[in-house]
Amino acid sequence: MRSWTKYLNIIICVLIGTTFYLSRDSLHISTNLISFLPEGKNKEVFEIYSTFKTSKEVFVAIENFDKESLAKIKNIEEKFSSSGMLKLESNIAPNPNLIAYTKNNAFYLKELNPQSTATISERLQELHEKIMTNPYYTAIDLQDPLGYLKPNKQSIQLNIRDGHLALGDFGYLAVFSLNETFNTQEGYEKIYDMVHTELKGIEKVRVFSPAFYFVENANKIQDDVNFLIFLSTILLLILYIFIIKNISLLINTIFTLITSALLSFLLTSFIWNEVSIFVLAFGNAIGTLAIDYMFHYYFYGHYEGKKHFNTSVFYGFLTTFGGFFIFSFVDFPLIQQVCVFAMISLVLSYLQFVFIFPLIGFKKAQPFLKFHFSIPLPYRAIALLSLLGIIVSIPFLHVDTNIKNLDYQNVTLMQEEKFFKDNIKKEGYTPVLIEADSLEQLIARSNEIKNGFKNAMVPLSYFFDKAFYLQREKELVELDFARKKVQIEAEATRLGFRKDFFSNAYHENLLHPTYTPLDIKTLSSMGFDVVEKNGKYFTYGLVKSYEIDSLGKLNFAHSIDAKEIFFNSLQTIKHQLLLGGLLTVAFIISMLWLICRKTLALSASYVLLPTALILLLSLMGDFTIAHIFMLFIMMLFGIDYGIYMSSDDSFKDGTRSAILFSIVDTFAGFGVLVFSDIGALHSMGLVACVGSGAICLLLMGRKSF
Amino acid sequence: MFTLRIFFFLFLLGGALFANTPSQFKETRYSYALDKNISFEGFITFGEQNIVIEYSKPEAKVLTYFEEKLSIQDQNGFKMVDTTATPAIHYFFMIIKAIHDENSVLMDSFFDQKIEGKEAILTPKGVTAEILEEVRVKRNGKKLESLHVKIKNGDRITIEIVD
Repeated sequence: MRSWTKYLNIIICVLIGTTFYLSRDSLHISTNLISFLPEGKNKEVFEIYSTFKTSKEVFVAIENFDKESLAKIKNIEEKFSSSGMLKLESNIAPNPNLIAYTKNNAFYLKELNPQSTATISERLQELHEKIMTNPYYTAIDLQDPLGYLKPNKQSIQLNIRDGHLALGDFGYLAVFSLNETFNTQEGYEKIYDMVHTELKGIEKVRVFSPAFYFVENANKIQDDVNFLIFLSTILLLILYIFIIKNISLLINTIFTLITSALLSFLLTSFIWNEVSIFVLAFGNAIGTLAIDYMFHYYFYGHYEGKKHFNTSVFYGFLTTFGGFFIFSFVDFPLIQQVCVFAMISLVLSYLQFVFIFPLIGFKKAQPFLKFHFSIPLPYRAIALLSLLGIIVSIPFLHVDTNIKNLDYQNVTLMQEEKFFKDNIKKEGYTPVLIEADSLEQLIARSNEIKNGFKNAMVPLSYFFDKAFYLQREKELVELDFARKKVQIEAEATRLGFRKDFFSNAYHENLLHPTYTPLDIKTLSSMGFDVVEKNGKYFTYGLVKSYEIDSLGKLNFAHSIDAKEIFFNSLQTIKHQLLLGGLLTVAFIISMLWLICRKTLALSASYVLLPTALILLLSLMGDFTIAHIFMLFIMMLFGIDYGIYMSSDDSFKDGTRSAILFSIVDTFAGFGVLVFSDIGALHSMGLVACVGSGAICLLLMGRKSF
Repeated sequence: MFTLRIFFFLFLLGGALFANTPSQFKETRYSYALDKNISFEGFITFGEQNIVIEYSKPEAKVLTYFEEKLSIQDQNGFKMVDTTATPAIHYFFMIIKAIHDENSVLMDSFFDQKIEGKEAILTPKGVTAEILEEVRVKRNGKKLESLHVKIKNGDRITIEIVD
């Protein structure tokens, strides 16, 4: 039996590894945090907005306004457009379909000013004088010679230099939209490569697109996670070589960790189509928690001979598992994935370390280091002071709900975004998604926002709905243009204008065009962003950020702000998070009471001190959901150590070493996350460092109960 | 308004051809609306940063274009127009600069060019074609002799160099 059980662990690893390899095509890792937000309106809103061409526009600017710069930007426009990936957007040369529509509906698209005090005679006289004496050529608006109409004011003015779009005083600007088929992660990558290849070697050029975040952040996150896994693995390997000193056990431990990581990833992938890359980084660290079980069994001699079941380890496993189990019910895919991954990983590692490793059998070696050092610590006072610290800190706790702070802080790209937004004068605006049951209603609502918010910019408000059409038609009828036309002709002839020169003024076709409801195809051909999803119609607008709160009263407009969306998502699961937190705390208290009643102050201090220190950390800055989540995990770690230390065996040399190595190991596993550039992982690493440090300090103390 | 600005700058275009020192010009506009010819006379100067047009006939007026702002000065006083609020002005200002700077990139964006003897015939394309029918530029070497603009509404503008 011994001959094959020796390889049992490796056999399991090979089997799982083979399954993993065969299933590799169906496994998808995602670096996009938004896709792991709770399902619901907020996420839907964000996803719909991301399908609009305006959400992923590519901006290119060439410095200076000279011949060379213009030639460069024109060349770039040509190259990008001919790539088939991007389409040049130019409001300077309006869309031909839009021009035609505007011509036919001019009297309904412009602002009507019926209060003109000038008489027909005075107005025509003025035109006559302008033609004769104006230093610049005067063209007459033959449709509206009396000037009843004026163009609607635009909130964001186009900046034009030399007949080309300009970016403030910087230089020429070109704006491109993504061709529909390229609005995917793969598409963004192809566009990113094409853009950077084409711009290579061109001096004084600046480029930005929101799509670049998806490419650069994904690469950065991928590199960051790979680095963390590598660093953590190296650190742990060094640590294990020093601690375990048994090469066979070390190899088996590595196989166990690989097996549990692969199986956890496989099973998590069966539940979710995409697994967040953050889960991988976190999952790697979870392995260091599972290895604690091995330390205890190894140093306590379970792998050398038959011993009674180690209840401390079981309770430690149970509390950690229980904590993740409670949080797995929170309706937040990212948290759920982490919890499910951790639970599978913990169960598998526990089963292998507790039931398979004793079958294989390993000889215990003395570690290089032994921990005899201890300092007297008043655990009761520590527990009480920590409790006080927690009570004092909680009211000052401010939760940062900006999801961007959980993501990789791509400072370079953020600077480019700000540069373009500042110069296009779009800084200070928040995108808004407008929703309606019909296109007619969507146009009406777009106009409602345009009129209700002083500086709002809503492209679809260019159009009018049936109600507006009827109202404007009534106003035009009241102006009695038929009578005015007769007067115009008479006055014009008197003043010397050519006969019938104004015959097309205020023409019936313009005063009463046929009202034709617009459809998505027509709007799209005119360059407007409208989508239909499940019978609902959506478009977008820009509203000044300081006015965004007033948007709340309109149930058809949703702000597209990562911070807002994450905040709203959190609001929808707030009660679940609160319940999860309370249940975890209740679970920890019950475990303390049930298992560590005799050593309550000592064991409780392992939970209270890390919690207090972590909460005090919150006074130095904002706390994200990653901090909070890791806080609960550190509380669960803490209770593990409280349980281990409550055992009478805790002062035995092997157990003490196992406990201390465990925390050093946890520090190496989770602590390395502090080196991450990704907000969520860095926060978790920071919390882990503080928590592990606190536990480490407590482990140095003497038993004082 | 759009059309008006286009022609204002077409006029300036003519002025731009004169050179960097003040040049005297004579402009004849044919107004289809009035079936009349109207004559203007004046001087134009192209500076490093600005363009100054001084009219002497039929009325004394000075137009200055500087950093996207247009100022008009006459017997009634001084008036400033912020051209950044009117994209078309910038758009058509391109034409003036294009000729002055001999910027073929700009010209090619808005016109197809054909040379017939001393004359360059510019056929508008894109948005320009909505308004203009044809532009003829006659040069003697680098020096402009005349500029003739046909507008789609029947109006005509002819600019001739006096000196």
